[in-house]
Amino acid sequence: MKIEALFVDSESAAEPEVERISTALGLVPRPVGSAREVFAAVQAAPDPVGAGKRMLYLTANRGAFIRDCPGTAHYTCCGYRILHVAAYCSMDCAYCILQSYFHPPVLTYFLNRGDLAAELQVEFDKQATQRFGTGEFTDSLIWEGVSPRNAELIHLFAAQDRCVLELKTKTTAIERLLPLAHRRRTILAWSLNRAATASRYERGTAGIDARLAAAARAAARGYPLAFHFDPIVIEEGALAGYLETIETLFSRIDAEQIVWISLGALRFMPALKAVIERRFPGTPLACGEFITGLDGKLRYFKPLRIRAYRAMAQAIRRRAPGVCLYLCMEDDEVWQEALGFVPGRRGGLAAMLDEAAVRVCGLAR
Amino acid sequence: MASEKARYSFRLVVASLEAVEEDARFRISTWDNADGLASSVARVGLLVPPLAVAGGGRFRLISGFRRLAACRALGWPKLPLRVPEGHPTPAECARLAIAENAWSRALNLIELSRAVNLLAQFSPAGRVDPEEAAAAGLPGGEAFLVRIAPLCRLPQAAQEAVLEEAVSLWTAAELARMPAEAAEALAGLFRRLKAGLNVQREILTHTREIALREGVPVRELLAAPEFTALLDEAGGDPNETTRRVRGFLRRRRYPHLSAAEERFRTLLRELPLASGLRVQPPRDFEGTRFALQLEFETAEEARLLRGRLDRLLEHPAFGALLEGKRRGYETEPQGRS
Ligand code: SF4
Repeated sequence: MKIEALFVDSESAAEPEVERISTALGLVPRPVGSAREVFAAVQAAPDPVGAGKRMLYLTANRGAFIRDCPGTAHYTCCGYRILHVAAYCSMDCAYCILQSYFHPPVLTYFLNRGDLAAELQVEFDKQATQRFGTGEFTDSLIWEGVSPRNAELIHLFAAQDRCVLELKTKTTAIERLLPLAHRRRTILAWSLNRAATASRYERGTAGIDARLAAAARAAARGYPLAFHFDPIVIEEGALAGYLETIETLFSRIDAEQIVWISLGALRFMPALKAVIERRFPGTPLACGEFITGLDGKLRYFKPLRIRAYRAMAQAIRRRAPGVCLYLCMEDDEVWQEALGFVPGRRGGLAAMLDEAAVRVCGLAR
Repeated sequence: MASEKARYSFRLVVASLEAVEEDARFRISTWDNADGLASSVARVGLLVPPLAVAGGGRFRLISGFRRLAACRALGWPKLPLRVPEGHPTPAECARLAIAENAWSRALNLIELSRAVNLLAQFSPAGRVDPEEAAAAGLPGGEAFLVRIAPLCRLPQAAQEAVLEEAVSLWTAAELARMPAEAAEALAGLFRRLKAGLNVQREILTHTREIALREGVPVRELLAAPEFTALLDEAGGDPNETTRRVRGFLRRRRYPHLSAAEERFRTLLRELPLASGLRVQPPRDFEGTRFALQLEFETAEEARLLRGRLDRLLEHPAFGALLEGKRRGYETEPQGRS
């Protein structure tokens, strides 16, 4: 989506990045005294969720840049640490939880990179294996071409040996990242789906073929890769499409380059349903066989999730028996039925992922 | 608007019926039948003369359509009219027509909807200002006005369902968002069921979602032989019909979950579950913990239950009840995904 308005928090207006971003976007930044002015502009639009994707707010992150992934007690979380560098997304997936996560949602980009670097240094100094990612509250690569933030992060991570950065995307915006000296401390990750699901529900994203082509280019430059089949949309006949994407993936990418692959079936808070119905009228996305999960989210009936995971896991393991394959936010029963083991028997999911990062990215133990 | 000084004064004229024409744009009332009113007018006369605007020796009726019809039915050659002085604009005529209706009786939802649309039609912004609506005698805030506005555009059968109060306001507003054929089919069903709001909400949501998922129009879904058959089988009893409709839609909306529930119930029936012993699965088979409930009053009853509990735990169906959950109690993994 094209950015149509640029706001800058007056206290951050002097940051050098402001000029760079405004030049790249061809927009004159409008200084605002507080976020409320931006929120008011978003709220005034007939579709605030869509309007928030066309307005960018440059400001300082006054909270913590590093946060823990908000897992729940009932389902196994990956223990990934969120780098909160930006919020919201200019692409428009029908299922995107960010549509109902922020009130109101507005594209936000944090300028205080010094604070970000300082927080990261504290973590690096712990000399412990840790996994960080920027793709929780946004797509990691939407500001490529506008901001050098990812390049800076890649350099920061390249200068240490214990932590990895995962940049997760549905774009192909890797051009500027390819030549960087990443030292395999940055994982480039793509969300994958069956092609029909992507074209139906992932508005404004790159097609699956294009994502895989970008991944292949990244692999050629030595980047470790990750893939996330998330969300898996369980619809009539969809499984064949997922298996096809898995085949395409392994026909283009060497399994040795892959740090991990995750599987996660569509799940969302009930409030998102109304947003989907309003913003994507006529879409059957919210008409799946959902029940209310133990965390209050709508999830597919458990045996359906198990079936889809099991079939996909078998297909992945046939092509990449050694790859670290995990489920996103599922309980032990699903793990056991779909993958044949529970994470606890391998030290827990976080330990499994740490081990994969150490092995594929060459981290120090 | 509400604070403006009243600007109309009226004169009373007696006009020939032939000189009066109806301006249907301003019609608000949903009552067509003027028979009852005609007999009242015949007895006591026309207590409140209709409202009309004058022009070129003729009169355009903007309120009092039933009264005019009653006079016509009685064969009156003339009738009294109240005529505002000056030349009221269409917007002013709309306000007069609405105020006269709204202040003289409680308007039903379709009439309110017509009134809101009438105000909107002549408002420069194309939407109704709640203050202006209140001044014209219409109830509710902006959200209510937005909700009722489309009701008068519902297909006739659905409007009738609203007038009969066979559908709630929520349901009517949802019907208004659907294609006319779907609204008509659902309204027909609700007129038959006479269900409360929660049941209407469930039926409407399930129907809409099944239609969307299966790519079948709502009307087709409700006209399918398996659906009409279950209406016929209920034998005209609205409660029984409602029960069957809900069951049918739930099974179709949640086919795997419903089938698992059914298979669970079958297994349960195989178990030696005496009174006082109950097995409860996790909700929607999502969690992993089953509940076993023992109910007793005396120690003797509790001891008795202990024996029954032992037999229950040894029964092969009990193991199947626990083990089968993750497969939805299917013997072989199958189904669509
Ligand atoms: S790419 Fe990710 S963050 Fe962006 S809209 Fe889609 S789901 Fe949301």
